[in-house]
Amino acid sequence: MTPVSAGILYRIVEGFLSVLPVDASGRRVFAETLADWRREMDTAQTGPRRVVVGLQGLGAVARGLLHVSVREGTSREGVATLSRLAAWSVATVMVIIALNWSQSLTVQGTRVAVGPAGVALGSVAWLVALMPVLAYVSAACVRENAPAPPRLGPALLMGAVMVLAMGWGLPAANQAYRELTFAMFRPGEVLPPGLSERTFGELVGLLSSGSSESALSELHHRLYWVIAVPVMLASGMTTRSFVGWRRAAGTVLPLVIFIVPFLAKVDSGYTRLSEWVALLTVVAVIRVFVRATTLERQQGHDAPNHK
Amino acid sequence: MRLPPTERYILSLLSAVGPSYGLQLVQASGGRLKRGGIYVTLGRMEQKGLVSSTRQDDARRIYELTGLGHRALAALEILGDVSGARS
Repeated sequence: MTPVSAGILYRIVEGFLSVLPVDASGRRVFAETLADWRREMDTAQTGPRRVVVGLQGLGAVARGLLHVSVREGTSREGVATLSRLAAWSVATVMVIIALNWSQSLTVQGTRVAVGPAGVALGSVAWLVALMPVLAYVSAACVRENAPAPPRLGPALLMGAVMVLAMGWGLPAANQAYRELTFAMFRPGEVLPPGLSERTFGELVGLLSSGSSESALSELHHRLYWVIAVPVMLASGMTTRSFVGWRRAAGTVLPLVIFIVPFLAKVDSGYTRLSEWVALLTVVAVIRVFVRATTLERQQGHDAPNHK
Repeated sequence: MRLPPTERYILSLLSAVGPSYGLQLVQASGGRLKRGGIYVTLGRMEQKGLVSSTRQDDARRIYELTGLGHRALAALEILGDVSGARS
């Protein structure tokens, strides 16, 4: 039981750590780190000392989280998971490029091919849009009895990749594509970037301008993608523990739930909300399947004839 | 067995201070070891068989060198490869 003296910050951090998908050794790291924090808080006599202990505890948890993530992300299973996602991504980009190879634009009544560079640049947006699905499918679709992978490290690593992609990579690719195609119409002219072509820093700068509402909406959209990809990756890895009919249902159902808001004609005012609701529902459904699988295993273990 | 510098340092520190909690090792290291990260390193060393741990009531563990840990430390000292925890 958390002692009263632990403080609100400790309780928040403890609650956050309890929902992270880490293995037993990661749990032990966090348990010992939190135990140190409690012990130091118990001996902190003054308010300033308690603040210092709180910040030290937070720093220790952050450091433990980083070390656990790096250990998991660089483990054999973690590298295999990320390599599989990379392979699926490369294959998807190749398919996208093949489908759009003959893409052309009408310039002053004449069809002009976008060209390989334009097709490649245009594929980046498609890849980013498909990334949550790719993460889920690449993590879930492995052979039976594959070793249980660590989830936190690969998920956090993909989160970091998505921050770079959504913050700088995708805007740069979008702008390069627009400039390439714009040059077909107006060679020599400069095309200013739109909202989708602004980096994170530029969007934050726009929050205090007249475009604050649009900038906030764009930031919200990109934040969703930064969070959705690691959540779907961790969810896909979790489905590997399901057996029997739960393996099929637990793999397909969350994917369908995630995709529904993008296929349904949701009123524009509720689009973002529906996407977040779908993502949270995916997590809830996975947890229900995990609980059911765990209960079934326990009942099988406790059965009278179990040897 | 090749050991990273942090693990070599923890071996020598545990030899110097005896069985300790992770937080005690952090405090004894004078800043060289960090809270949080030390438990990942100690867990790895325990998997290698260099240290063993005993869980206490409050989820903390007392760590101490195993026989393998003592022999590894002795070998490192012969090679002159241990940095100064045993002063």
